Amino acid sequence: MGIKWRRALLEGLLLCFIFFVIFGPISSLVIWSIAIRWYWPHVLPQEIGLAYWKQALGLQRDWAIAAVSIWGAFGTSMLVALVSTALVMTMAIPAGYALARFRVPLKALILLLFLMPKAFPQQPIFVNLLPTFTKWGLAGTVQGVILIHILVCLIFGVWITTSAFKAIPQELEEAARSVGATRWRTFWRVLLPLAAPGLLVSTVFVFITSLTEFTGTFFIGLPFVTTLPMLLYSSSGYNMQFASVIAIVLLIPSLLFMVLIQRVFRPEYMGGIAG
Amino acid sequence: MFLLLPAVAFILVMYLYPFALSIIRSFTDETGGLSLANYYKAVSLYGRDILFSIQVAILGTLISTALSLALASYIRLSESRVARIINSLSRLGIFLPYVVVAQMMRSFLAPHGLLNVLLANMGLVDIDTPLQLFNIRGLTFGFLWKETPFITFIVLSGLQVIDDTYIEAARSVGAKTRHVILRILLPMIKPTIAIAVVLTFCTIVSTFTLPYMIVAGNPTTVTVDIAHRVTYFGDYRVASALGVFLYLIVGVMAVYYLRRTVREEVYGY
Amino acid sequence: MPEVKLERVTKRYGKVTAVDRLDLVVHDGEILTLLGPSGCGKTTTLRCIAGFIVPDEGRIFLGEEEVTRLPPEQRDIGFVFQNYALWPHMTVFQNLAFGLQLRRTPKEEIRERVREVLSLVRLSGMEDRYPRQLSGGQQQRVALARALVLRPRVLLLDEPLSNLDAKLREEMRFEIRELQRQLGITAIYVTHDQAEALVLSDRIAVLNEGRLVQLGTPEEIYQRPANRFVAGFIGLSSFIEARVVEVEVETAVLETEDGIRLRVPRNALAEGQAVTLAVRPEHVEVLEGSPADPENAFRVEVIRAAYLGDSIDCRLRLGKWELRTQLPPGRVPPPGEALWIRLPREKLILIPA
Repeated sequence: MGIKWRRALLEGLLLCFIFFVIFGPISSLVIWSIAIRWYWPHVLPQEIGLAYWKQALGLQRDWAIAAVSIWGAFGTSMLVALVSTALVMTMAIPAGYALARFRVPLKALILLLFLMPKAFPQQPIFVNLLPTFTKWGLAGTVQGVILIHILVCLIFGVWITTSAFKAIPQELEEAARSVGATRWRTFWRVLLPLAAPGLLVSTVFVFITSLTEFTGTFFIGLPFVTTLPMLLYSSSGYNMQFASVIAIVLLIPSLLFMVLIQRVFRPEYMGGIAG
Repeated sequence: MFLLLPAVAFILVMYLYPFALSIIRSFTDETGGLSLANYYKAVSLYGRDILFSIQVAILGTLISTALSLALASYIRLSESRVARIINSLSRLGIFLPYVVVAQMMRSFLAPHGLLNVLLANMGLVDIDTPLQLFNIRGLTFGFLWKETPFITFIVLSGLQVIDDTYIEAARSVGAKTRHVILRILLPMIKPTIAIAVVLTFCTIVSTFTLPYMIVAGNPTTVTVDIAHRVTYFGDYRVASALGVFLYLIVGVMAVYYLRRTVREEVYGY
Repeated sequence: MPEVKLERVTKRYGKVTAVDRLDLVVHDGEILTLLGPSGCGKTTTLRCIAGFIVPDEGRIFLGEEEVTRLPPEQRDIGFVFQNYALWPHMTVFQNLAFGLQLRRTPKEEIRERVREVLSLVRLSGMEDRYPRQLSGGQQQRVALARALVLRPRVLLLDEPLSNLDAKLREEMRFEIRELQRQLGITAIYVTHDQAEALVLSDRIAVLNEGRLVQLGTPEEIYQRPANRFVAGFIGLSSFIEARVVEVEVETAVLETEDGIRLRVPRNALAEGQAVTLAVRPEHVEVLEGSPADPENAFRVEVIRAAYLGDSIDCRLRLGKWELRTQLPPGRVPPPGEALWIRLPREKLILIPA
């Protein structure tokens, strides 16, 4: 019995520690987002309220509070993310299908091309695209930012889509072909519905990646294109409350994605995201 | 193959071309001639930061890997409810974007941030000299916070595929828990662990957001230096040389990752 | 080698009782088979003995020592798994040496003992192979060797042959039996294959729904099944239900609902008692033409017959009952053909209903 108790105690301590490490930073965000005044070294704020939330969500306009409405940045972010996701998936679905099902010439080289952006830092890429973009009038424009987001997201799209298609047994397609369906019909009526959960994961992941993209937008978009992450960055220097509000807004889609992936998760998709 | 054409063309133009450009530019001087001047400048101005980047990457990778292996093994072997809760908790951070994590750390680790508030109230730090964490310590903590759940998740998916009988077989020949973990479970998924470690290392080296938002002053990471070079001086050549240093830092690991994955995808082993 | 003793061992999973108050003694040096259909609790019992599962109630002894709650690594057992569970990242040598290394056996001795046990399972020279480089049968023997190299107090085998093809499986039955004899090790063997159990056991424990149904030598179990379940599970049996209508000095007469009368040894039968008759295929005598002696002779109709090469499997209708038998190879009787058979009285198996 002694061993059992000691074990339970150790597990309890471990749980507390992990709980603190994970929720410490998160609760710091939450508290700051509703803190009006918080003096060192008090554990909790002296005055709390939803003033920063209201101001950020455009429900009130008070010059005493240094926060602007986030709807403009939100709109830009949504526009960029929606367009990028649509374009990425139109390229990724055919590419993923081809990689999953066909003997592609130069396959090793193509795979290498799709893997390099995951392995090597992308920052020098953005830096070296900037002069070219400036020359073509794309720097500081929404179009330029969309191009950058497509670059960042495309590889994820391709890899998750490939694993989604690969996870479907080829026999199911062969069965459809054997009863007289054309390759095209088989793709639409058999493969696509079966791959739908994987494609959904892929699409949502691409969308969130675009929504929260920072580095590429920083180099190509600033100072004219203000997405939510850019707004967060520019306010984080002087206004902890407002920055916390935006951070929480940006955190929500990722948590929702976590829920989605618990629902339709297959380890193969993680392969697309990670390995 | 026309299905692949759009994606491949896009990556060629938007990735491979600037990738090549970054290497070429790093060897070019103002007149367009071949030179190593950018490298001299990069090393003399930012030599310390290059070492700093390497140091953070090694530290972050080692600690997060060690924590993850312990955590994943514990979750795999324990049948208790606590282990299941810890499992769900540990997944929370996986998909949070770095920009959010950076803001979190900025408020949590600040001199007057929540961590210092709590420690001060418990009497663990002096009110007048709170912990200064906007340096290598805070940066490493931020990376650990984000990468440990990621590695744990990958390693755990690997461990969960291992049939219980392999563990029971070890127990039946006399293995204690630590032998089961160190001699059976972890060696069985060595390739998975290697991939997780490599990706983590590459991520830490490449990340710009977190150090840019939480490291105050010097030393800082190479990614931050690149941004400085570009935004303050419009100096693309030294920035590119620094970029090549980043390529070199991840070099061995990235090549290992590329070779393995391509081999697996093409030849199936 | 100690004996293994189970006292009222019980294991429940939710509402299902996997093992129900099981009492069992495995004698020193014998090989005992736990036999039963899937879900009968045989594997759960074995895993309780190994320590992978702790029973809810009851006690388990290895020799004098009670081990009910002892973790498996402290029990000194050898376990052979159905899927072999050879560690894929280790060579054959490393697989075998692992347990010895944990016991801090000197290097020289490890090498010696591994070599010895490999020659015992006829795999000498395979030390440096990885499991994936071996055939199924070889992997099976490595798994056996890994369990034996530690010279455990008891060897536990969980359906070790079920992943092999039929031919190899038959060979390995004898091989395992031979090894166990040679080493004199106490062994408990789990299988659902009755033929396997008959070939390699000293004794068989038949389990059904978590309970011990019958315990005995293969001959006892086959010739005197304790109930209908055992008779049906071990060997083929056809069943006829009847009631005792007459009791005489040495014999008794049974009658079925549809008026078929059979004479059987008297045993302890009482008038009016309901009994089930189990008829083995080899106990049905097919007669040439109508019999001179009418005792237990019946005219039956062929339902269908199947040619099996060395025999003909034949289903016969006797009143409302169906009998199975094997005819010698020759002409395959068409359905509907009439035959005369006899059910010799001393061969009939009587099971109290």
